[in-house]
Amino acid sequence: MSAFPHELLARARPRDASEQVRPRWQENARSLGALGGAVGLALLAGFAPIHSAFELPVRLGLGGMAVVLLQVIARQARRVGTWPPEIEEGIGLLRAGDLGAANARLEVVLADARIHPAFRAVALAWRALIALRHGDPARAQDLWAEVARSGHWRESGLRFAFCGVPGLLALAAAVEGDLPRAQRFLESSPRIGGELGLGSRLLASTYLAARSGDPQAAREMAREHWASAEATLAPGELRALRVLAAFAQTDVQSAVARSWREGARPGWPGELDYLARTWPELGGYLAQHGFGSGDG
Amino acid sequence: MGELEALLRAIGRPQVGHHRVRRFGPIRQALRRTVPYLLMFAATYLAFSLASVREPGRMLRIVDAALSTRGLVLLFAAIFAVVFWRRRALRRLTVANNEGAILCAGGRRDEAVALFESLARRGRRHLPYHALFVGNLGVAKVIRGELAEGKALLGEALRSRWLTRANPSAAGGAFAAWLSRTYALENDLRVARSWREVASALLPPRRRGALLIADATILLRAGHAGAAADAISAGWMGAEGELPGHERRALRALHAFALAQAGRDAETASALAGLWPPIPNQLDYLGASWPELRGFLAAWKLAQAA
Repeated sequence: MSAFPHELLARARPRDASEQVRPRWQENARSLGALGGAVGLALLAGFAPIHSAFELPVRLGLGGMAVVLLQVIARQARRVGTWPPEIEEGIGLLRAGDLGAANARLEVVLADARIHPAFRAVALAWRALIALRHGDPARAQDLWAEVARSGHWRESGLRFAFCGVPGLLALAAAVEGDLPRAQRFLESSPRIGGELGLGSRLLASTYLAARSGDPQAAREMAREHWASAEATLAPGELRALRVLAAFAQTDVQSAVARSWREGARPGWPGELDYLARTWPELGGYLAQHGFGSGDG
Repeated sequence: MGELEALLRAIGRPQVGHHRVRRFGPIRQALRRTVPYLLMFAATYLAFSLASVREPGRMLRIVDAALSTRGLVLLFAAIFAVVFWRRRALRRLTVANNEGAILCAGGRRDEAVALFESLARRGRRHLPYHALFVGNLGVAKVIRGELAEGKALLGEALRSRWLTRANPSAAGGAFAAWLSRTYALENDLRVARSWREVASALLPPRRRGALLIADATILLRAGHAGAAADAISAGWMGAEGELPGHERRALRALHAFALAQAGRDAETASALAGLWPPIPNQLDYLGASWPELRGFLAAWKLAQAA
């Protein structure tokens, strides 16, 4: 699998230690080292030439150390296998629209050093989405850069958790207003999870098409790949896609435009405002149809 | 759980071999978990007892070779390889299981059934997970409109008890809720209500969205359209985030139908807008044995096509 573009990896690391994730290669090297140590100790205990009166206690001591080290490795392996419930709760809260509470749950995961770094990377990826929804795309990109650097997205069992990162990353760059960079992110990021990431990619490319003056492409994209989007996106992102498709309709009063728009009715006022952060036309559209957080 | 047993007895067992989930008692389960260690013990014991019978010189040489450093390392390496290989295979199966859920959610029913069919065949030896694969196959079959077969598979997944006892994934509760919905779609409301109670006991707090669909279907079938519409309106925000795409759409369709039945036309239109754009064949199973709902969905599709 290819890597994320250098442009992203070169971004500054988050300053807060709880937002830094130990990379996957370091984690693997530690496990391998521990295993090697355990095997070495066991071999020493069995075969070291010890010519002294304390041969038996020394051998028993070395064997005991090997057993303790093996226990540590086993506990580590168990730690990899248990998915922290706080992540699931955080995702649930995020999907239900409670960004503050979701952030707090994910913070618990990030603050706990006993939780495996791969899960901390998952929590960080979701926190980045919260930052984007809060209207801070630069910070979102910083956090996703840390996730990309950590390499935990290569873990085959966690692909479903990271599948949305490439598309949402491009969306963050586009929301920030840098369309060429968004396009580069979209094209050169790895396709994590194959089909699982289709929805978020579709969202980013629809946004890019609609914003760069090609509403027809945006319309057709959204319509054609709708089934995959519905299968892989959370309700909040689906509403964003719907509102972009509605915005891209030429005849605002047509039945189709109305259907798209009605389905995009935000879960709470101002939910979709982050999309229009540097895009006044969309902001005007949202305000006109009563989607904004303003006095309506 | 006597009630669960009685409900399960009413559902026939599936005929195909790999659709049947093996069920182990606690002793056999514990034995299975310790099989590698038992084998190691047995091999050592056998070697020592062989060594002590006759021709001590010759046998001891063989046993020496077997128990030498190289022999032990090989033995441990073999056990490690088997355990590693099984875990790897299981991880592949669970990744495929996630992809199958996506196929279901995207309305690709035939592909989903084919995928879960192969998972049920390949995953026979990975026991707690086999129940999950068989249950998911049941869900895919229900979505494809094969309600009777789907019920048998869902029942089989629950009968094995792998998913109903202290399982954090709550798949057991979700399958019970699917059974409740399926019975309600077939207008067997007494059984649907019983399954609803089972699901309610099994589902954890953050997974109550599946119950809402079951409740709404039962209310609608019992003729309380207004109550069903209100229940969905009240529970929509919570359920929306928990449910996968196709279940969300099913809930929307039920909402629109309930509103139309209750004569609230303005709200019906806005609920139907949430079903735009239509995904072909995705909701057909709802109307498989419910002519009114089938007619409603067909009329809506015709209106969209026009």
